[in-house]
Amino acid sequence: MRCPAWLCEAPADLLAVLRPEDAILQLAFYCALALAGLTLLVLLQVLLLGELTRLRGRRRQAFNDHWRPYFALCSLSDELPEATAPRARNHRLWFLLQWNRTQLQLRGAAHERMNRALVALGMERRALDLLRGRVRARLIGLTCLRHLADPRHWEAVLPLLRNRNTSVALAAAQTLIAMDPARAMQTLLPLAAQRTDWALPRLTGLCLQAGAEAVTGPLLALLNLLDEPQRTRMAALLVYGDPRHAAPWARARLDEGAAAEALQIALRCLGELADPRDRTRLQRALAHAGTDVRLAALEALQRQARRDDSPLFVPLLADSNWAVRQAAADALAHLPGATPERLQHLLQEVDDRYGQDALRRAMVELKR
Amino acid sequence: MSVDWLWWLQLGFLGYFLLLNGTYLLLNLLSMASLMGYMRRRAEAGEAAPYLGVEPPVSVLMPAFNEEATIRTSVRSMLQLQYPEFEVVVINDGSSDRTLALLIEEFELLPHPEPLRQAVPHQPVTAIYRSRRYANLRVVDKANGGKADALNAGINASRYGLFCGVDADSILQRDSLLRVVQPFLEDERTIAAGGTVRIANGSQVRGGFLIRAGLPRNWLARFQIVEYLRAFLFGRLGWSPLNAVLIISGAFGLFDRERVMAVGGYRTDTVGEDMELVVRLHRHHRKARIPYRIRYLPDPICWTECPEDLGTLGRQRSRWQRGLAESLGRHTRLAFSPRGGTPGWLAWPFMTLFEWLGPLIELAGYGFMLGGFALGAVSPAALALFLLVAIGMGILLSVNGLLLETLSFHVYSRRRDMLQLFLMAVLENFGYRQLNTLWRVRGLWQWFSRRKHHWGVMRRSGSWGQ
Repeated sequence: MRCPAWLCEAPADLLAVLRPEDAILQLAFYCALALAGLTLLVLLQVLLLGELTRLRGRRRQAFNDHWRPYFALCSLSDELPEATAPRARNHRLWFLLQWNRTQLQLRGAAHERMNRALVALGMERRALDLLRGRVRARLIGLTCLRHLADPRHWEAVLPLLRNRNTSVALAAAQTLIAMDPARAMQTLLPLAAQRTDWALPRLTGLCLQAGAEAVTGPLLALLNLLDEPQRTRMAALLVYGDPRHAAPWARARLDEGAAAEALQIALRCLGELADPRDRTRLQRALAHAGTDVRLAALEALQRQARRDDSPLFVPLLADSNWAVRQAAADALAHLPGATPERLQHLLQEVDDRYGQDALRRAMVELKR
Repeated sequence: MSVDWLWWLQLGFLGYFLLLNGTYLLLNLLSMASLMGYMRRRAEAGEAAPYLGVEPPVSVLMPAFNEEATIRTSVRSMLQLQYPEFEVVVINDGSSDRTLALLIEEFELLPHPEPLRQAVPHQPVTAIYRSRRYANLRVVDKANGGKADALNAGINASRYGLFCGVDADSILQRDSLLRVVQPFLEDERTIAAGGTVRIANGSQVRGGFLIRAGLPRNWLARFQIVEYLRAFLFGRLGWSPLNAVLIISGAFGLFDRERVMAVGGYRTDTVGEDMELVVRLHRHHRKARIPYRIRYLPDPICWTECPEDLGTLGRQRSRWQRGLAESLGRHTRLAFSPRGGTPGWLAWPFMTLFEWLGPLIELAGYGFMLGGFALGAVSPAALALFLLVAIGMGILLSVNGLLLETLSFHVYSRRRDMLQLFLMAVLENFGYRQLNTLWRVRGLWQWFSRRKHHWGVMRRSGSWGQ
């Protein structure tokens, strides 16, 4: 069969007419042709991807529309509605994703009912299978197991705590904490000291999830074993521990005159505790050269401030640092028994112009 | 001899355009890889903005100068952001219209005697107001001093460790703050993070939020949509993994306040204060060997109104070019310095060759080729090839911007919209891009002649303020 002239001969003729004689210009000419081809290919790709995204979105929407009423019934009633678990692999994944999303909005009995429904459908097994999959599958599986919070899954999740992928490791940590906070903190805190990819705000989140009781013991034990700089990094988490247990550590830091970062943490711990026996220590820290330390000491003292503590805070209105002056003014305005008249009287006693400004601002804010 | 010289000049211009667009294509590939990785991580962690409960509080700084058309909507939009703890500080930079009066009326502002610390310099503050309706809203009224000066006043007035600079004519997506703060939670070395700015013209805005993205009727605005996609999705995303982002848009960027104060805040003697600050942060941290990260994220979105008339657009582009020249010109020591790293060895030279000097070379190229052709010194074939290389690669780059958009967020989901944007990506290379080059050359002239700078005047549609 012969190629039609319009398909084979005409383009070849056109190319021959357009092609320049010069070799370099010929090269540029072919580059331009290639560019035009590439541009068209990209356009096709854009359109194709758009269509695929729309199609996928519609399928997903239909799937969610099918299961949403089931989840609603599960969360409301103790009797599980009739259903068959999805069979297709991507449907199982969508199911677990939707289940995770629904669980995020539920608490108490409804949360428990949803857990029962998942187990009844045999999807708990699927969630465990996902732990052997790729990153996304693992994260979905870990989230499911976190909602289930069943200690029987401990051994399955534990290896993922050491996963190189930060998201997977942190998700595993959250799941372990959901199962048994005290045991989880004992396991993960030593690991957290080594893993610099676990940023401090993420560790703070884990500590908040575990609760003060679970954090303090293992953290204090760990601090004795660590060297700098890991020790200071991990010590920052003490603030989320039980201040009664952290107090001896904090007092020791203040007494030995530790580094400014450690002093701030110690002061925050003692501030939480608000033990009057620490007043002398806190007052001493008010004279520290570091602004942040003075500020932390002031805030700690404010938590246990008494009616007659104004002489403690008034000198700080003349502090060289803006933040300390404002905090001192706030402390004075919130002293027990502070009245507008008393504050007005105090204001007249303040010589420092910036201190007066700070106190005036705190007085106005108090009125609101 | 002269024929040789002309031949080499033609080749030089062809080569420059090939290098320019080729390098952009390379950056495009880098961005594509980076974007795919980012989208994969996003899919892994879930589509919804992550909320940990440990997000640091943020001060949203909104400098405003004669923004009576949009200020109420913008502030209302900021107050409804999805974020655990934040404050909104509006800095009225001596507006001569009703900006302040509208704010006082709408948000029931009362004067508040608040001492400002003077960590960074700025023009005198006339008054500070606090809202009776919103505990986290304050307004700083100050003498006119320009956007950078207003931002400095905002830095001094802010109460939290992170500040987010936003334009008063912009609205943030509700989860934008939650998304842009992520690099600060993931890596303690992060000192700044920028999000994507997109064009809101033609989209439906209700109650201070964008309900549905759409295309504007105005062709200039449509061209700018393609331009913004290109500039953000590959112009900045490609540099982010290399820690070489030199621009964080003034319309939306999150900064560590202490680090910004350590370098002296925003410079008031430049029109490109946003870029200048970022380049200065790079230089400072590299010189002092302080570990740091400056990140760009594609999904925290800020919607902004773009100019729809040639005059405003031209002035805006000249101002941007001037800002770029000032920022790069002031920090020549960053380039190729032993501690310059990727910003000094890659980003700075790239920006200088293709963005700073680019418009001049492009204009000379167009002038030479067209002039040469008119005088018979350039053959028709050479001219055609030059235009094909200069324009063809430009089209490919613009179309790739659309591909990145489709691969990622698919904001313009209608097929008709994508086809229209594709058409714009092709058409912008015939006239609009060359016009841009002219405006940018004008900006370079303004920079060279040290013309006095001031707030950019923008003609607002005011449709958001309804």
